[in-house]
Amino acid sequence: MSDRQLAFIRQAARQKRIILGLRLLIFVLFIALWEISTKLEWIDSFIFSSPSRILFCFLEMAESHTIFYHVGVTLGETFFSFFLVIVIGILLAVLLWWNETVARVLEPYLVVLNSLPKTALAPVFIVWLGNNMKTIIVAAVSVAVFSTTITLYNTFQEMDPGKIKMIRTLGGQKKDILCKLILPGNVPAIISAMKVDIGLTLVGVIIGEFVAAKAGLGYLIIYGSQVFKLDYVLLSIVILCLISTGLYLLISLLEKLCLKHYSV
Amino acid sequence: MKHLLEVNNLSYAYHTLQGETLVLDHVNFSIEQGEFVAIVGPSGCGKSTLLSLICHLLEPDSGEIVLGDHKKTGYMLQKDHLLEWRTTYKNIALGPEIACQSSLDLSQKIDTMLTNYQLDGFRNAKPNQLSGGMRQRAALIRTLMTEPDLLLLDEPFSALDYQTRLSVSDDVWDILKHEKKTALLITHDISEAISMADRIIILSARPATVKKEISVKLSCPGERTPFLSRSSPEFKDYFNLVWKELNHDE
Repeated sequence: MSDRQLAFIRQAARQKRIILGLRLLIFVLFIALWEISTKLEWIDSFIFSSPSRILFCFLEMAESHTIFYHVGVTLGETFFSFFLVIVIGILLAVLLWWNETVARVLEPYLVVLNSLPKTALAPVFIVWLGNNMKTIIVAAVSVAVFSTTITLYNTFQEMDPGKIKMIRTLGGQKKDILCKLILPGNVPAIISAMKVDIGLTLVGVIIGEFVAAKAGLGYLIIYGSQVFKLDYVLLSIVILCLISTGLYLLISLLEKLCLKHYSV
Repeated sequence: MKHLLEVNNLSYAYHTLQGETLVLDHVNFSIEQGEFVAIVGPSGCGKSTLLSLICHLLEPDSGEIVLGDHKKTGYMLQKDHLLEWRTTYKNIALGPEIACQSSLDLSQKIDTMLTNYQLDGFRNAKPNQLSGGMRQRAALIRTLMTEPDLLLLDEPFSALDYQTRLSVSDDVWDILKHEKKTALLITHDISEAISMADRIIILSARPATVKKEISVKLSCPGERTPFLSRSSPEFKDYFNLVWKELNHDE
């Protein structure tokens, strides 16, 4: 290896260390500033909580297992809604792809439903479905399912007409085009839709829990803010940060596993 | 002898909201068993439409296409259209898979094909690991797996660079002669048509009709291959003849 190459590698490694260091620094500074400013009573820890209060709150709730219960409920609802979104989204996209007339008839409705702020529907769902988990699941599914359907349908339609012709010249019918071409060919598109959806369903679940829940992090946030237990609220938000990052990483891992077998 | 393929008074028009475009206007020709026929014509004259009609992807407006009893067509497109997520083997198995055939013979047959046509080391490779020439060979084998009697070649070399094109032409020629296939090649490349075909059918500009048919007889030292054909003494004369016909009405 030449000296210049060595220098280049060293420079790249140094750059990487600097970036990691700065990231950590921001985190530590933020936590420290928060803690110090509450200790010195620059801000009121009753309203703003503090890192140490959040930690104690967590330990307390961990001892009684209540926090795990709330996290479990939110995670369970998120996974279930996510699963529904992916299944319904793919099925609807396939239906639209299969029948162009249906697609053209439904297009304006899908556009309206997609651009409608779904938070507006949550109070409606609670009246229709009751103060229970059904409302939460439906709210979460409604947040993500329309955009998923539209995105997948559009990518299905972008399939190379030459490849479709190829399947047809081999004697393939529409179902062969679907099973041999459209679905396997759009695995990357489906995974990138999943990446977006896992975040969206979490948003939907929290909205649902705000209006109709007896458990879950969304419930904890609303409850905490109403009884002025801001430790609950901020602890829940911290946990939500961790959950959303974790879920995203999970899908990224799935993506890596799938694409490894895909085309190399 | 009965013709393998007969095209009688074939007409076809495309319909759009802007109007009707007549693409083929009473096209007539026939192909014998074992022949290699090339169709040349100005670009956009409806050559590809003709092939789509012959393999029943489209239905003719009038006229008829008569294929010999129990004869099948195979279609090779401009691009190889290998599916990136399938291995070479799985790509080649696509035809039988669609026809729901699966047997031990099949995998043996594919392996023989792969060996015969220099792809045996790439059985489990994905298409992006193959060279342009290999991809085209794999696409041809995929078409051959459906055991077609008449092979329709829709400018199969036009996406390749010149050098690859010459060698792939020879490869495809070898494979077709080896498998004793009848072929109908569509091209806008006059040299390619002369170098490969026994007979050339010249189409007019749109709406296409058959303008002229030319039998190609080249004297090659030894066995004829597309590459050697290009250096035969008659090649230039055929080129001029086809060129003149194509540019006749301008």
